[in-house]
Amino acid sequence: MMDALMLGFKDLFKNKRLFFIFEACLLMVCVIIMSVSFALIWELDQRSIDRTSSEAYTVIPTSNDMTSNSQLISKVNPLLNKGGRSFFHSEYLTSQMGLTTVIVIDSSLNDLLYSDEEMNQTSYAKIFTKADLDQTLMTIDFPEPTTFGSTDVSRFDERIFDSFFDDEVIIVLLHTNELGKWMESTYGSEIFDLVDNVQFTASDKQNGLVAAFEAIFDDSFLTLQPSSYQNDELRFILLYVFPTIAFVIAALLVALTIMYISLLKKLYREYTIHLISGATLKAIYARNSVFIIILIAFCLLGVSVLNGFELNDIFGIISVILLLIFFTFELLLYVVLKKRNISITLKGVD
Amino acid sequence: MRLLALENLSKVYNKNTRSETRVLQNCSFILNKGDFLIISGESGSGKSTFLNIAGLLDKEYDGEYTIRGQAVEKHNSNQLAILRNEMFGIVFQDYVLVEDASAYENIIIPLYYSKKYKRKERRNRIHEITQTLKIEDILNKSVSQLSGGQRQRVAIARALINDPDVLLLDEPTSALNQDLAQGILQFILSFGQKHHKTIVLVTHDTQNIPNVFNKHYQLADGKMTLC
Repeated sequence: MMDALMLGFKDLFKNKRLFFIFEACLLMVCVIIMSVSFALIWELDQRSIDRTSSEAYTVIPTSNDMTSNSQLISKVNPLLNKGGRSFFHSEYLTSQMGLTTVIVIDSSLNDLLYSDEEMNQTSYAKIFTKADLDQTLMTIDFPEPTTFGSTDVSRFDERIFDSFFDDEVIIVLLHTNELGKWMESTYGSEIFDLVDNVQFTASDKQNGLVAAFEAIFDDSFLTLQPSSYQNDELRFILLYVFPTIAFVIAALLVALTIMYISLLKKLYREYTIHLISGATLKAIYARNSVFIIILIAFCLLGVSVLNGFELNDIFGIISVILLLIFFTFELLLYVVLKKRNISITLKGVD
Repeated sequence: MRLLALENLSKVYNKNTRSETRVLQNCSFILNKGDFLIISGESGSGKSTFLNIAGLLDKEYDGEYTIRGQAVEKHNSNQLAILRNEMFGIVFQDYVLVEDASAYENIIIPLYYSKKYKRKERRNRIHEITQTLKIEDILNKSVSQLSGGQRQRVAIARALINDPDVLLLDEPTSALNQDLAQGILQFILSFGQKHHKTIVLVTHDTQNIPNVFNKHYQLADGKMTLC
C-alpha cells in the first residue's frame, strides 16, 4: 500500500500543471457556492425572523427646507417609545469618541437591557461597546443621564446589531423624550438616517403605529416609500442569481469531470501495465485517491481560510459537496477500470 | 508437472452483434514445467488473444482454464493479481512501457506487488537483472529516448524481474532487425534454460527460431493443432 501511495504522489508531481488547473476550478466552484450560501443563509435568516411582515421605508428628500426637522423629531420620538425600532449614526458623538457611534432606539430591548429601576426613569441611556472605551466615555458630556453597560453585546437582537462593525460604539437609548438632544437637526442627515432605518413589526402595524408614523411625513420634506427590499432581494437571488450560479457550477463540474476523465485516460495505460504486473484494483484505487484527496484537502484548506476557520453551515455545505465530488471521481475510476479490457488497451485501441 | 491447461477454449469478440468475430474455437493446450513451446500462426489467427487469456489478461472466454490444477474462475481478483505477479512474465511485441518513466521505473513495477522480493532487496534484484541484460547504463534514461533494442531489453527485464515461472513472449522481436532479434531471442532462451523457466513463444515467423522448443502448436482458422 505504501508503494501505491508513493506512486500516487508521483502521478501528482507528473501532472502538477493539471493539478493546479483542477484546484483552481474546484476552488472557484467552492467560492461561488460559499458566496451564494452566505447570501441564501442571510436571506433565510431574515425571513425566519418575520421580516416579511415588517414595515420598512426608503426615504426620499423632496425639499431643502430643514426648518421642520425639530418638529419631525419631536413627533417621531414618542412614537418610537411605543414601538418600532431604528438607529442613526451620531455625528457629534462620533467626533467626540473617535469611533463611529450609533444610537439605537428600540423599545423591545428594554426588558433585556434595563432593570426595573432604570425603566422607571423618564429618560435614560446606556452605552454598550465591544471596544474598551471606559476612559473616553467618562470625559464625554452626554445629553442625558448615561451609564455604561456591561451587558454582552452579542445578546442583542441580531436584526440590528449584526449590521454594525465590531469596533463601533453602540448607544441604546431608553424611553427618551428628548431625542432631539441626541441629534444634530440643522442639516437633517441624522433624521434622514433614523427614518431610513426604521422598522415596524406586524404587531406595531396592528397597534396603529405604522399609520401614525406615515402620517407624520404627509407634509414633510421627507417622503416615505414602503420598501420591499427584503422580498426583492430574495426573489432576485432565487430567480436570477441561483439559476446563473447553478449553470456556472454545472459547467465547471462538467469541465472538471472531462479533465478528470482525460487524466484517467492518460494514466490508464500505466495503470494497465501495473495491473498486468500484479497490481490489485485496490492498489490502483489507493494510488488514484492520493491525487483526489490532496486536491480536495487543498480546496478545503482554501475554503477554511476564506471562511476564517469557522465550522459553520458554509463549511458543512462545502464539505458535503467536496465529499460528493470525491465519490463521483472514485465512481468514475471504478467505471473506467471495470468496463475496460486490459488486453484491448494494450493493443492501443483505447 | 502440469502448470496450466486450457480445455475447449473459445473466444468471440463483439458477441451477439453484427461484427461478431469468432477467434478461437475449442482450443486445448497443456503447458508443463520446463516446456519451451511455440504457438505459430498467420497474422489475425488469434495468437495474441490466446496469450492474453493464458496470461490472465482477458477473462471473457468460454472453456476451462486451470493453473496448477485449480480452476481460474474460482480465483478472485486479488488471487488473479498475485498469479499475474508471481507466475507470469509477459513480453509484448510493442514493449508496452510507461513512456514518460525511466527504464528503472518500468523495470521495478512488478516488484511493487511482489511477495518474493522485499523492499530492501529490490535494488539488488534490479542490478542483477539489468547487469545480465547489459542495460545498467540506461536505467535513468526515459524509455522514450531509448532505441528499439534497448526498449525491448527493458521490457524483458520487467518480465524477468520477479522471477516468474512462465515467460509469455508475444512476437518479442518482430519490431527489431534480424541480428538484434536473434540476439535477444537467444538471450531469453538461454536465460530460460539456465533458470529452468517455462517459455511460450507466440510468433508468425517460424523460420528463424532456434531449435530448442519441445512443442509447437499451430493456430489456423481458430483451431489449435499440435504439430
